[in-house]
Amino acid sequence: MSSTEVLGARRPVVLRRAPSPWLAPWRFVRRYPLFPAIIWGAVIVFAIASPLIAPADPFRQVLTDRLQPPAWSEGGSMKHVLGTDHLGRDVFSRIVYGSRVTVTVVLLTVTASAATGTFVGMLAGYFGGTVDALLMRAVDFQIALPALLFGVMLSSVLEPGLRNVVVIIVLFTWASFARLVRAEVLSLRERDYVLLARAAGAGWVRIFVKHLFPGVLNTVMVLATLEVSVVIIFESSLSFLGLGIVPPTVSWGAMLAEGREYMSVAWWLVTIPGLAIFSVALAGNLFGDWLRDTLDPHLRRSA
Amino acid sequence: MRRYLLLRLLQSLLTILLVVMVVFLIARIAGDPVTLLVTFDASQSDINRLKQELGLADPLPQQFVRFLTDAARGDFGISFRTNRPAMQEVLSRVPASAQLAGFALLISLAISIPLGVLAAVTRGSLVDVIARFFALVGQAAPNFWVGLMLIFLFSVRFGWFPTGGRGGLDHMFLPALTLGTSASASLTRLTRSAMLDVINSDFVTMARAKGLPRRTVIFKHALRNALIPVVTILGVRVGVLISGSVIVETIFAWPGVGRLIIQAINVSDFPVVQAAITLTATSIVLANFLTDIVYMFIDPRIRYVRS
Repeated sequence: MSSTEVLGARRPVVLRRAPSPWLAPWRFVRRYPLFPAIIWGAVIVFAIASPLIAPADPFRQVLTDRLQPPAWSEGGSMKHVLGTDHLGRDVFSRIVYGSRVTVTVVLLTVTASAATGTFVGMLAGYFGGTVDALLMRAVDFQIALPALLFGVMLSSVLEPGLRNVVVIIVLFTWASFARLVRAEVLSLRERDYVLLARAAGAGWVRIFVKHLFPGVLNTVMVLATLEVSVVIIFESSLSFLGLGIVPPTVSWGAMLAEGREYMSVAWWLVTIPGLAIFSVALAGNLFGDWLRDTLDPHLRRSA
Repeated sequence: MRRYLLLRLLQSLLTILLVVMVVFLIARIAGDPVTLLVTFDASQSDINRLKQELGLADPLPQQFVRFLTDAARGDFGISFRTNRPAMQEVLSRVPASAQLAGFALLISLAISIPLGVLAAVTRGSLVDVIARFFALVGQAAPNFWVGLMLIFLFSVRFGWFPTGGRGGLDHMFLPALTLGTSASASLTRLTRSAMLDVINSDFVTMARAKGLPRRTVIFKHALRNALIPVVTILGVRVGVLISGSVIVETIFAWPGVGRLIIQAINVSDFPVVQAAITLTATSIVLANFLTDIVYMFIDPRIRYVRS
């Protein structure tokens, strides 16, 4: 930076440097959600067409083929592109099948918690008064609870498995939707079109569906996208601890936990499932950022 | 101001009360504690007598009041595993956890504040891009994966650090770095955006116009104000950090409360789980309360507006 620059001038007297050509790929990534689209596209295709894509049965154990490294690594072969685990199961096939858990959990939890949170937020914002006070205390309380801690405790007393994982995650994610939607509804309900609808005798259900919901939809969608990574990390943390999705169902978190024992001899057993979780979460965040900038620029700073 | 403080204190106490209630209810979902205490050939009348003795036949609200009064005295029962009081088990692990969490917080502050400031001041530069990239990556990487990768690289491959356990500074470095990753990422993002806001305000322009040196403006005028939102979020981050210790301590075999929780869960040692979760959740609520107080002191506006 040159010394002639005026630090913090509102209209930049600042002579901003020409954008570096080296950073062009970075700017491209920021402008278009290409990376998230590719990653999520792949994961969804994996989940829907797992039997077609997976080269092997994800449960088939071939003990003579155990701990084979990935194809590009020394000693690896194209037979097992991402290598095999300690029981000789094909890692790539397990990643493909594991995507089913990820996609299912994300779809169910994000939809359920967005729906619950939106409804609660609308009730609180629209009716105000005691309803608002009570619902918002519940929201505050949920946000004050350390999610992972109580998630771990709750899942330890419930049967492990998909259904309970979804229930637990929804319990700990709906409140942020409620808080945000309530804030939006507080201003929406004073708008002329809402007041007119009320004057015309529309009931609250109609006002919620026809007038308030379209107004909060953008915000909810942005938050829902940003919640994707939270949900994925939550699910995989529980599964990693053996408290979420448990074998025989294939999940990336549980794969990581199993691979952990063999880390010193088989780096890929930890690296690859972790990379899968990481890139799906990252794609979620990037897509959320992009969506926020596109749909709802005034949210830009708050999140 | 005093009223605000009192109100916040009451709110925190209420939250703690609710925390204890949730812990109590979850423990009841787990099923009848009696079935864990009796042998499989116990007769129904034996079970009923034991229930009477332990007060488990009383109505639920009455049981809760008793649980609460016991909890207030730190009495969560006896650990099934070691036969020592559950709270004592937990308290013996607290120093290790506090040490790790404290060090993790220090590391994340040491990374995020300088990086955030530098990124904001050199907006659009390579440093800025690196900072934003780090913020994105750090928030998307699950800490169990980060931890295992660090162990793989620095302990298994290079042998620079021990793979786990508690000992000197070298034992603490990798777990603390892991635990602090997501906090560092989000704090970097926040410091950067808070700095950018402040840099664009009139008083900073004014300070520059007066001819104050750049350094003074950045550190004295801009940073001190940019830290206000950072401190607010810090309370939330401390909560996330403490719950993250459940995973990080497990991975690094760090003998703290987080690992104790998982160990106790694995052997269904409910008194210890309850004691540990209650204590941890309470400390998180208190951390949030303290943050609010600190916030009040560093930002005089709050004191006037809220009281």
